[in-house]
Amino acid sequence: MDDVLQRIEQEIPRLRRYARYLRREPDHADDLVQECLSRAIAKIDTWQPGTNLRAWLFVILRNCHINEIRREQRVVSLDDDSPASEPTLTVPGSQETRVALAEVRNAYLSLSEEHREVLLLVAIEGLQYEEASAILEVPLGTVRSRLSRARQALRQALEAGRGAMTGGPRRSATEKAHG
Amino acid sequence: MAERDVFTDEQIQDYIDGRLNERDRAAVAAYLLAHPRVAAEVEAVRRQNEALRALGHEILDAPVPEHLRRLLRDRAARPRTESGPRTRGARSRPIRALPSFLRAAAAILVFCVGGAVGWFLHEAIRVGPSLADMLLADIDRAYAFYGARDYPVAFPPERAKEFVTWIDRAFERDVRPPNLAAFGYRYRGGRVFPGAGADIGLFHFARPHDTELAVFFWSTAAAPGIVRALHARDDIAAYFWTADGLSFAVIGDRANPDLARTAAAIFAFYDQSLAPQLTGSRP
Repeated sequence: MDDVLQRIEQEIPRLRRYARYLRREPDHADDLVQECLSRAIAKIDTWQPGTNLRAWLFVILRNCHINEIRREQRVVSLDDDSPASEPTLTVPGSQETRVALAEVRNAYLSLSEEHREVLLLVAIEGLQYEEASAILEVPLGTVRSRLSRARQALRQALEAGRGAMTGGPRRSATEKAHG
Repeated sequence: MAERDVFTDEQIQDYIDGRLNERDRAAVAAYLLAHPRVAAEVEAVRRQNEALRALGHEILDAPVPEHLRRLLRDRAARPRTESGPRTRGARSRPIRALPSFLRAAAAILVFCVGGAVGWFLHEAIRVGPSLADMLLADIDRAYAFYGARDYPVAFPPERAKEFVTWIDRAFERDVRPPNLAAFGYRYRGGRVFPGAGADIGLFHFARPHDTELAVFFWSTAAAPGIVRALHARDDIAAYFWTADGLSFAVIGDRANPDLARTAAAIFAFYDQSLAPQLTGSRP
């Protein structure tokens, strides 16, 4: 078990990034990670060795998040003074790199939540479709099609953003070259 | 697929995400060589992926907060149990990370719920012997929570409304922190300790430069109002009381002359605030 706990500890940065995506505010994100870790410890015997520990933790993290959102929705209905904020992912690197990555970040943040999340799990975290399917609680085919649409939307958003910066006319979608 | 010379979006996507077997991968690679426009799209998606992976990278590079590491290390430091909830042996686990008052309050709760002096709690928690173990397991996890923060509450006073909603969900009761201003106490926040068997709620109060007080509550199957008891140990005294569906423990400094009166006021508050819910006659 100690080995599993060590591996869970190694996953904390990934959990924090996913939590930051889900919760936006850093303090709340870390609260979510704390809740996730506590639940993971409590049910550590249910993790199947040989399966993806990160995906298992992401399921727990997302469930914690959903529970919290449900609670907050009820709070908001009583006291609607907590407007949702946007994700706060930042970009590293040199000035040039930062500009390029800022474009990607802005395009990414302009996507729908379900597109952002599937990209986060598959493109950013490198999870298998099957694992993303389990985390998102949608069929495998939905993951695949959602991912395809998310990538297309991201490209469109990137092109639209660059078009806006240069002021020149841009095609809103890439030409479909296959199929 | 190898016989085809045109691939669907999904097949191209599978190629990008490394989901194809060697034969199909080679077929797509050959196709891309012959179709540079598609190859450019694939390359664009790969560049997108690389750029996406850089987002939030500062979080991966940042030091992990110590309280998150401690959760796991505390668990690793515990003696092993075969499976499931921890047994009464959990009581002997050091709880050095607990702030002094709450450490003692949690200890006395564990002590009582664990059955060492539990004649009254056996009445209060008449749902089988396993619940005490579950509560112990929950409290044990609570230790990790307590130790995880400089200040051991998840919901500070300014998030009281959110906390009450959380409680409502966990306990199906509208349990609010009592107003103890008349006794000089200020509400400092609260937590729900989640567990497989039973959640435990905590409201924490303090009187400036004086004394602290904790109200714990948890679900019970006992009949309402049959238990009012006092247990004292070391410098801590605890009062227990059971409503229909909920048990409460008010734990405070033994030397506090107001403790009994404060506990009585708290129980009266819950008698009044919970009674309409319990009888289903909420106005």
